[in-house]
Amino acid sequence: MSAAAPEKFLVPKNVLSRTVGTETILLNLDTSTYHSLNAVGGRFWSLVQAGSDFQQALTVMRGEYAVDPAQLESDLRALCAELQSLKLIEAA
Amino acid sequence: MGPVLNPLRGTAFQCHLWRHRLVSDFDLGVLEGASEACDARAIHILKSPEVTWPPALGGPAFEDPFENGDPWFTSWKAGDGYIIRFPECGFYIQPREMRIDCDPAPGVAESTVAHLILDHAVPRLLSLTPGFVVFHASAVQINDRVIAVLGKSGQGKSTLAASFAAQGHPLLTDDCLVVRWDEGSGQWLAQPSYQSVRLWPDSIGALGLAESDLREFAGYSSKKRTGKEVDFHFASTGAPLAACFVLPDPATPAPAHSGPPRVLPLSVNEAFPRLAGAVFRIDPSDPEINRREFEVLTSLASTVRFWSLSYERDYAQLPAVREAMLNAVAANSGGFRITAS
Repeated sequence: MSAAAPEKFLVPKNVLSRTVGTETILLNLDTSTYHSLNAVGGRFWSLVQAGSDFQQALTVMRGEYAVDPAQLESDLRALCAELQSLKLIEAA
Repeated sequence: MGPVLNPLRGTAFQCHLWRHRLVSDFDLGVLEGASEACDARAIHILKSPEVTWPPALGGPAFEDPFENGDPWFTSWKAGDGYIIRFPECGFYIQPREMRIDCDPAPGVAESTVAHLILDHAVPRLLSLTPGFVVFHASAVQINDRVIAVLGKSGQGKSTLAASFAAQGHPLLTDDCLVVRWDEGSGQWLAQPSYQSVRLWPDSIGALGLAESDLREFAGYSSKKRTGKEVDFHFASTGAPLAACFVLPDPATPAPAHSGPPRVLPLSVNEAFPRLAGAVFRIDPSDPEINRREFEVLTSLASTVRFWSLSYERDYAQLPAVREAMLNAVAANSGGFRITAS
């Protein structure tokens, strides 16, 4: 398990999000670009929005999804990196 | 100082459209708006020379070129509004004043000016008005709800909508779908447009219409506009938008469709980019416009069902296409009665 990556994130004020059905729509007002997250990505997003750090979100989701824990962590770290690169989240 | 005779404006052309009263220096034709009550402010459309408008602030806010790269539509922020320019006509749109100034190039056909006002300038003013969102889409009413077709120009939106209208389903619009927040019912309502459809010559024949019953649509186009002579049914009041059918994205080449029409459900993730891409835009980088649009689109996406629709480009397929669309809606919403013809 990697412990070096940023563990706490914030959603910038210029990023809007709304869950529609099982999917989450994001809009970065600075780039005028829409993005979407599937149900798993949306669950992680909701936990980050609620103030969870990476480990807390990972722990919650390990309890919710019957998947390989290492794979889940790897997938979520990749998602975090993508969200950061798109400036949809930033390190707190 | 001697006597002064000041020129006064002549009797302005007026009509009701999208729940607004349009008061125009330009003759917008004999189009009839929906009979729905007009409870909003007037939109004034004035002839005024561009030299009297405030200067553009910086570079273009939005450019939408022709396929060959020549400019078709360009917008600039200016004063409290936007200057928008087409090859033959410029407009200064002031949403706070609900006013559109218009300066056509010399010699431009009246029909072209009327088309640019009705189908481009007024929709863009409404797109800047809180409580309104405007889509490039055709729409028809099925019982008490509305189904829309999203697609690019030339993909058959108007022909499909006209074929529904010819079968007795009230048509709201062939290309410009105005959706309005209704405080009374607490929902987004699709609003009827003017009572006319623009059709290419081959569609006119395929729908069994007489070309003599249609009139010029714009000086630069071979499309024609239907008039009162054409026995189409038109919607008279707004209704909730319940379903959107999305035509294939021309930017994503796919094999030509053959066989029966194909209607497949779309997830919100799949449909949302097309819904957002269909919005009439004037300044995609303005945060306030984007914030408002986000609220509207996500609200609509939570209540509207989406399907992809592909079919063989053959007029003989239209009855089967209509039936496939109605069946999809009836099977999924429970709120429709099938009245396919």
